[in-house]
Amino acid sequence: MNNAMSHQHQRNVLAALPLPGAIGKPSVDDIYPRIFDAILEQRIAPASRFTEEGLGDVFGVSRSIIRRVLARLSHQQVVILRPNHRPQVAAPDLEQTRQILHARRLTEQTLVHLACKAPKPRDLEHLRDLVAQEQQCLERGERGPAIRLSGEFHLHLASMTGNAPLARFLGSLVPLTSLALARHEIKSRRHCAWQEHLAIVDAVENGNREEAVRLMDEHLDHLEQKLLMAAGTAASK
Amino acid sequence: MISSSTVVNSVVEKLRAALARGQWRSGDMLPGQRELAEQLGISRPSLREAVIVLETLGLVRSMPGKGVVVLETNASDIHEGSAIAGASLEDVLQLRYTLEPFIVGLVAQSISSKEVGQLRLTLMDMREALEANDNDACASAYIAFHEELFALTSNPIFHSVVQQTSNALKQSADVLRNSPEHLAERLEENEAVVRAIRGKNSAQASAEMRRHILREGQRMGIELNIPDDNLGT
Repeated sequence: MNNAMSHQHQRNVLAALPLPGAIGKPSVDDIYPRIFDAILEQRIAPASRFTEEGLGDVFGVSRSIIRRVLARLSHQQVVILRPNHRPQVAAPDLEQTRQILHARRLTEQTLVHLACKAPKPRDLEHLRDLVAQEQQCLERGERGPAIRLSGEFHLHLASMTGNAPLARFLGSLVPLTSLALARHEIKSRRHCAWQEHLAIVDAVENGNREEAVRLMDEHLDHLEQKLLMAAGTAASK
Repeated sequence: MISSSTVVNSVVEKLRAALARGQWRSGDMLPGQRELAEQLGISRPSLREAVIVLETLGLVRSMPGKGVVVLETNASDIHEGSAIAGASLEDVLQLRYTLEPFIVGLVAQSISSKEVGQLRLTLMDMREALEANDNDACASAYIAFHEELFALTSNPIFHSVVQQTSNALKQSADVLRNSPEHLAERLEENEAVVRAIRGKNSAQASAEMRRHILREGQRMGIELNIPDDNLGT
């Protein structure tokens, strides 16, 4: 709870800074990570229902912005929008999580293979920047944003390949994985996903396809062990 | 086996793709319910549900007594729903090769004998069309087979990808029609997939689908750029 408060406080401080791009009314791109973080930190609980008005009040923006953020989250399958129902946060079960991870493995093997073809320096820099931010969040104990940034790393890697349909499909798997990760309080905190991310960037930069595919595979192995073990423990309680 | 929510989702995607293509502009009214339902080949209740989803997404608004008006939207919001627009045949084949063998393996595990029967009927349509030299009907049956097969997947995470590859197949329907010499091969490869599914042999079904997509690439003159060990089992 303290954590969430201090995080909220920091966000407000950040919002008050006159950063370029942060001037004027908040946009969909500003509000999207804040709502996703709120979901990941369970300030919006899984399986809870909420209203557009309620979220608009909390984040101080219009309903139309909230609607578009929810539309994006619903493309990513994080939020379920159904006619005549309030929006709801998705709660994938163990079998669904297993299938999501399998689909991720197939998709990301192909994607990382493609990313090695001719990576642009600007993209590599952005990947390293995301890893650095993730590391900083972990050091500050901000688990929600760290999970989201970790997901953004995978999505940026996917967007570098130029295969839009594959990248889009991954776009619906990664946020669901983030959701599953956030839901299970992972015991082993010494996993250091960001170090594995850095090794992947190096392999991609060197155009070393076999190495990149192998590292991605291992990275997803670790993710799977963590998630399925955590889910298994939760289920047996 | 197609649940109504699958129908609604596919209608939502169709309408969203039409909006993204600019078939209707902001301020336009959608055609009347009866006409639109007929065009899309669905029931009016399904259409109504789909319109409510689009309304929730902020793409349209229902005006009671008047109809459904298209709202001004950020084009990129819509395009998130149809990444296929900027995709090449190679991109789509890569997507298919990456995922369809896996999905068909899942289908093989859960399919009922009635559903297998439906798939075999569609392949029979394809064979009849082939024997009658009706390339149009044969290409349509090929696309229908693909749609029926993947509609059987129970996990909603695959629905968007299935929708995308179906749309891509329809867009490349000319390629299918204009290469009648390949239609017999396509039919044989699909029959091999169904035989494996019928035997509930998941690994074999995956392998046959992989072979089909690789052959499809060769027929189109596309060499797929894929990891060697991506065997997808």
